[in-house]
Amino acid sequence: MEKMWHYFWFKPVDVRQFAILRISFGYLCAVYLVQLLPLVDAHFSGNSWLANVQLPKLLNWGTWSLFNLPLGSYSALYSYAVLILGIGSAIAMMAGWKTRWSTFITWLVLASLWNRNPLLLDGDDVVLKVMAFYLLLSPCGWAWSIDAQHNKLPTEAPVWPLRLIQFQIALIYFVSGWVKFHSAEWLDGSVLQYVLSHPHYSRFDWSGYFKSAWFVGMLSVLAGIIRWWELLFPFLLLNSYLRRLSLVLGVMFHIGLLVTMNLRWFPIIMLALYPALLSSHDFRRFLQIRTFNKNAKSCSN
Amino acid sequence: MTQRLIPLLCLFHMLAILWWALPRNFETLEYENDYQHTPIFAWEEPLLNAGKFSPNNPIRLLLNHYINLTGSQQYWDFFAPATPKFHQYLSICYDIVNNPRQGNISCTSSPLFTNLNLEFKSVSLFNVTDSRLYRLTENLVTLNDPQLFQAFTRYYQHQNVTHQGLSPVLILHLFELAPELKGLPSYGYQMDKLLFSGAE
Repeated sequence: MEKMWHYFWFKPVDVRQFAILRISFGYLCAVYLVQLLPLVDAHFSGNSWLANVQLPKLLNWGTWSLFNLPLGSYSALYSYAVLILGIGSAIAMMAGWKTRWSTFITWLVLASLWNRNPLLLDGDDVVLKVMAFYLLLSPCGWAWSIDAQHNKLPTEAPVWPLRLIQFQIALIYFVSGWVKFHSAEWLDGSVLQYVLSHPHYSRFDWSGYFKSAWFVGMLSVLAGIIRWWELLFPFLLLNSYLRRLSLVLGVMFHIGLLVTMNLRWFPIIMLALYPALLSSHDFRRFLQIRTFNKNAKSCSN
Repeated sequence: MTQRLIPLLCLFHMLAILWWALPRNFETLEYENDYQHTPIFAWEEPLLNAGKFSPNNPIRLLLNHYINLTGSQQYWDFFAPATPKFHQYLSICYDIVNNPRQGNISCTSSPLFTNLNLEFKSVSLFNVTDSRLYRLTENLVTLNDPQLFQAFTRYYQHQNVTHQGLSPVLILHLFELAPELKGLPSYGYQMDKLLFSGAE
């Protein structure tokens, strides 16, 4: 029992599994922070519309933020500086330069944004924020990084930071699935008709297709599959075959979201989490296939 | 020592995010009658209530401080909004026309702020400001806090100093979708309302 417990938390894993998460999330954090630049003054700085508001307790948001410093007329300039610092650190994190510090600063800026004004933010921002925290705890700079180029670092590390990430992903899907069981539209299967009719969230006007009973029926079945798949996600991860099936479903689901809906980078962010769900064996096999394809290509050339 | 401590800290973190995330994602949901017949309902209430401690309970305080310190607050219910039937937008302006029969309130002068847009469009992944403002609208409407409405209106009033002395109003453009009904505009029924007037 003790051996199993130890194995569960300290099993050695390839550090490239952390590195791939660092690179993709460093890139995504940098893009997200750049995209918030036009909104800093009005929504996050000391001059923002929320500056003198006693924040409602309902949201339970955090009490600290780099954006809370009272700097008077310099507050806009300071807020831009903080965001630019965040962009720089996210790029450094992606490159693996001073990885621990760059990840820490990225997390600090993302959490500060959330604590300052979560009204503008969404699930995709939360995933970036919590992932920066988990990557901060992990040896994500030990491979494919500038740090690894200059230092001799181990190629394997204990699995426990990956366990935290896996738990977090399972929680996201589980709660999302569970909440769907509260909605009459999810239960009767009509929800996707509403979602595809939504001028903001849908990329295209699908209203012409709703005359087809076959199409409406298919949307209803799809809604049922989605809510059950999300609810059962943590349990599907426990078996290696069901885990693979679940990941394939997840990839199809998120690609579907990307094609049909306006959810910013959310589907890409969720797909970027998936390397954390691969077993060490599957991850190594994935890398071997990539290396094999690369070698085969160079040989044929 | 480390090998004993790390699993314990990991378990503590997992417990903290689970404790924080579960009840808070269900606070604002309204229970549908059909829901009480689902198998999940039977074990949901006890599970959600299990983590409810009194406000000064030391465990609650510890978990709250931990979540706050690590920035681990998280809401996942927005992946399944309780009311996918509605979509909404905000406008701030000085002069309005109210058409109760059509359900719309429109600005007669140039608005100080508006994100009203009923066109289906393929939003670029690199220009997401509209999407952010839509999210803000959703949250403001859900919170329904007059203090927030006032602060938001006042901010845009101060950005535009040409109408000093006048009082702007904050309009909610609310639409209910009904894809099953023929002859209705694809954006649905319009039911605009004033959220705030007389900022100063």
